[in-house]
Amino acid sequence: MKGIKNIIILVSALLAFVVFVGAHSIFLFGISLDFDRDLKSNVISAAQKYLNTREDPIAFDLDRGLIIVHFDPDQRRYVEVNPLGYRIQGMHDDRLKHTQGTKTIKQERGLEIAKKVYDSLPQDAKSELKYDEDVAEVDDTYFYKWFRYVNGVLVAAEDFSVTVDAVNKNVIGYRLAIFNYPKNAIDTNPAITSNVAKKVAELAYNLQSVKDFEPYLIIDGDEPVWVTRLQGQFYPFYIGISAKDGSIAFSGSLPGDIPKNYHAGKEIKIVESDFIKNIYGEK
Amino acid sequence: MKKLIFILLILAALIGSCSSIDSDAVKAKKIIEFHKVKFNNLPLSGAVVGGIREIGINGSQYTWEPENVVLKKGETARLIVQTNDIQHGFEVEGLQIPNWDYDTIIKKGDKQIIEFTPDEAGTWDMACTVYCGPGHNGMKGKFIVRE
Repeated sequence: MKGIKNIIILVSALLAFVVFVGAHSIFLFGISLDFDRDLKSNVISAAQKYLNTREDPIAFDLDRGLIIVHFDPDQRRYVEVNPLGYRIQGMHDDRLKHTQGTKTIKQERGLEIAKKVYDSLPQDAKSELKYDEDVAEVDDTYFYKWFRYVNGVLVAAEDFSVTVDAVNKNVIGYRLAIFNYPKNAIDTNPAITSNVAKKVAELAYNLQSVKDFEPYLIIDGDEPVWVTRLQGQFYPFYIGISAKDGSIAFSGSLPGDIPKNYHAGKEIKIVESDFIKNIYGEK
Repeated sequence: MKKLIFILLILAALIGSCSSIDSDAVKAKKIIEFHKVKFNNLPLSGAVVGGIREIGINGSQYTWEPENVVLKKGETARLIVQTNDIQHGFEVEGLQIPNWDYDTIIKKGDKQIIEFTPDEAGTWDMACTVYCGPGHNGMKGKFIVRE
């Protein structure tokens, strides 16, 4: 009897969790645009034009600088607008998802469909995006991704993705992240080595590095960051050390997805700046 | 003879790699020390009024004035947060400020008073928590608590 009671409690807790997460996953921040009438009307009209509708949006959210314009949160129907220039950089519509049937296309065919969306991107964005072979498949939908690279170094959280339904071949959603800095404003040369960065992380946190984890270089914003991993008391966590000045850029989770087997860094020339030389006492 | 040269080479390689590890650790220590004291030259912000350090912080698209807020650990501070143009929000990322709800919308003309005693030294980012336009994510300043 006690066992059944425990199971009921567990199931109730699980249900409550699912409802809670489900209810809150629709809106991220629920921002207001009322402070700027022009911004609001331009964002709305760009979204309406894209969807060819006169419907008023229900809410707005923020997604790494993009404004999400929600039209039907229950169906996850939204458009993502860049507030600078009001360009549409993403959309999602669950109504385009299959409701029955089985997969009719393989990943290769899905990629051809996704590439059509990729081909519609501005040339400057396309020239910096590189297709990632690792395709996720969830609930009979394929998730294709392109990552942004500058001089062979991954720019964190600046990517492009397309979701294709494997049953009805629809594009359910896509999203081009905002490229915060043009490539010529991004410095990819580290001023400190990965070993120094690893030591900074270990000494700053008084923890050991995760065994066999090889630090790699990414761009966070406009500067290079060494990513290393420390073994915490209960679980490992990531540390980003600025490759320019050795400060801690982030800790905990990564600022964005990292492709599998990504390892840039070791081959990139270290350019010790005067600033770093001063810190080392070499100048 | 060949054996001796081989052993000497191995030893040299070992010493070389050890000294490289040591020098990396020395460099890392210097970097950490630099970042620990880099804000020491900045004066404490605001002025002490009735035993409490009072600091006016003004937000506007997309900056904070002052850009750096410097407090002293253990000294009670009174932050008077206002906005110059439109609505903003105030947060010190990663620092828990008792009794302050960072979702508070601070409208133009509002005056939010936050009083607390920092018990931890460090450097954090001040950030805007209410969407205020395309430059919102970059609306940051430094919040420094000195020993």
